[in-house]
Amino acid sequence: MSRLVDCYPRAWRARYGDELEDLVAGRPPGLGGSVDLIRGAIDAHRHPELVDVTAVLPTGDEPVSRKRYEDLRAARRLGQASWLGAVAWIFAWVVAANGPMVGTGDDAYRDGMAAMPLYFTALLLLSAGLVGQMVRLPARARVARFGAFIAIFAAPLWGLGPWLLLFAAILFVGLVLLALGAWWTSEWSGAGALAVVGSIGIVAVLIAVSLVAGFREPLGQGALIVSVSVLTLSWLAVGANLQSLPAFVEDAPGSDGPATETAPA
Amino acid sequence: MNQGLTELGRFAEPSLYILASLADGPKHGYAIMTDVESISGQPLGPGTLYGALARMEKRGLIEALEPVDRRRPYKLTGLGATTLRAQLEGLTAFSRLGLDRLGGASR
Repeated sequence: MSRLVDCYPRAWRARYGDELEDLVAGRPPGLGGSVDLIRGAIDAHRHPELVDVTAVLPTGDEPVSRKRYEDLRAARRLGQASWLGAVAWIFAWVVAANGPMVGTGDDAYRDGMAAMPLYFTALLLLSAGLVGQMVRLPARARVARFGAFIAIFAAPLWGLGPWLLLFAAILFVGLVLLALGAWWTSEWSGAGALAVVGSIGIVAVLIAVSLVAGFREPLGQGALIVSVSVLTLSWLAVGANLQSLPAFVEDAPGSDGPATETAPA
Repeated sequence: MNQGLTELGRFAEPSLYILASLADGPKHGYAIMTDVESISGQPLGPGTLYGALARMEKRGLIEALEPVDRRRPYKLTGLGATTLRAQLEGLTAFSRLGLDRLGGASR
């Protein structure tokens, strides 16, 4: 049951974790106590202000070495690439929606092949942002890192064609794992995680409805616009989290001593 | 001062018990939990206990002392004692009023 204490935010565990683990070890909670612990963990995530975060700062604000700082700067650039991917994603669908009509009557459809380079670029840039997340996330954020890892490969594979829904599904699962895992370990804000999980949830429902209605039945124009729009949040959320840089402590040998610097976000 | 605990929502009642438990001296989490259970006759979950402790510490009603091994004792602050007194006096007045009315109705 002491594993339930791991459900609390990192800053909270740093302050109360030892006491709570000792309490739980000395008096193992039953079912009711376990539910109470889970409720407490959810409450702690909802109220991070209850704990003095300066006691244990989140990753983005920790004093770090120059090497780590440079890695995070690179991750920030990858996050900006993810934002560019959001622009490419929107343009890809605009181009696809304005492609030439092919065929006549009920068989008529728009040829969106002209959008394919933009579409692939958008998903490749999302993959770049996910690489940035792998750089940024600490090892203890295992679920989030696993999600980012599988999404890194799924994104460009889905970029080979929008009809490759298996890769879309893998990408969505990866993004959800990334968002929830990063939120759970206090590496992402609740708003960022909600944006990704909420948008993917909406799109998953729309795709499921489309599949149930018949595979040849396309999503309605409105549903497609909603899907494309809300999915853009994934690019933005992946990139946004990478933009804040930490203060770092320069401790290289031969330096005049520790000096601190706060980089602009 | 009544508002000081009311604003704690579902943690208000456990907080009052915890303040009462600390009134006779510092205690760590485990001791508070068993004491509160003997006072209230109801189990106090660990999540609720530490949710209440965090809120009261944030509001300056209790103060954490240096930990002994992994157990950290908490003590009542001056503000905590004042808040507890106000709460108990409010309850006493309420109790007296209710009992008086009950007595009047039964006569």
